[in-house]
Amino acid sequence: MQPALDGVVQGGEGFVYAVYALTWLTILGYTAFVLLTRGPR
Amino acid sequence: MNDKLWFVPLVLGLVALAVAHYGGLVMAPTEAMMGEVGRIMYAHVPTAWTGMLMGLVAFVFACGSLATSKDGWDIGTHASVEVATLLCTLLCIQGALWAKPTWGVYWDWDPRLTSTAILVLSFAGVLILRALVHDQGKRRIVTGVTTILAFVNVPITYYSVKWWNTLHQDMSSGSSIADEFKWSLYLGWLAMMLIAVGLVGLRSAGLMARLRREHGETALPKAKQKIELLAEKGGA
Repeated sequence: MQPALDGVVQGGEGFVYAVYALTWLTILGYTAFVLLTRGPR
Repeated sequence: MNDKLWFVPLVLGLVALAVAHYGGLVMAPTEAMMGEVGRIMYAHVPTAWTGMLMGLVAFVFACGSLATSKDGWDIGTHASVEVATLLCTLLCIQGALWAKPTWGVYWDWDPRLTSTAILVLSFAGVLILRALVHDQGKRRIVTGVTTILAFVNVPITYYSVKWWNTLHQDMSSGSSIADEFKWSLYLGWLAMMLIAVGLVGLRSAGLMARLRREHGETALPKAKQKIELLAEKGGA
């Protein structure tokens, strides 16, 4: 992986997967928190 | 409103986000300059737009809360500030993971990044301050005022790339995006908005139920005391 100093960025797929995984973990994690802390209806 | 209705935008949003992310990861063409790393934009840009809009939603709730002194507006402010904090924190981490392969560093104290970090801290500050105040009347005022103060930074963050010389690229809009990249990006935004609306609704319903329980618990012993006092007076 090279920084884009000479033009096109090479590689970096790991960062892409990390961003998508983190996005889903954050959304599903917070959804679980909201549902678990709703308390008795 | 039935609390369960909030599951509709949440579930629709999750399905739409799965489709949008599949589009961003698999179907969209590789970006000419950023290469594969450009695919981060399909997650990052919708998070940014939704995070900022949740800040605006929080501002509207805060104004309503201060104007009406009603608990519903205050609970809405709490829920939307919480979702805005979450999304802006996620935004900073996504941005750092994009910056490393493209800029060579995870973080730079550039105006866009710095103003976003201040936004996260100020929204988190609203939630911390709120947790420290136990009287609901004072809590409503503290939350309303601090949310409005924190919101001032939202337009500053949004326009920071225009107002200052910054490392961050210019703001993304329909005119700056090629057609083949658009659908996945806009579907991702719609998905994030639906998810945010569903989460704010569900969180508000949960918080409102808790507030009612707390009020019920404190109101009941007071009412009992009053009846006992009246009974004593009547007996004397």
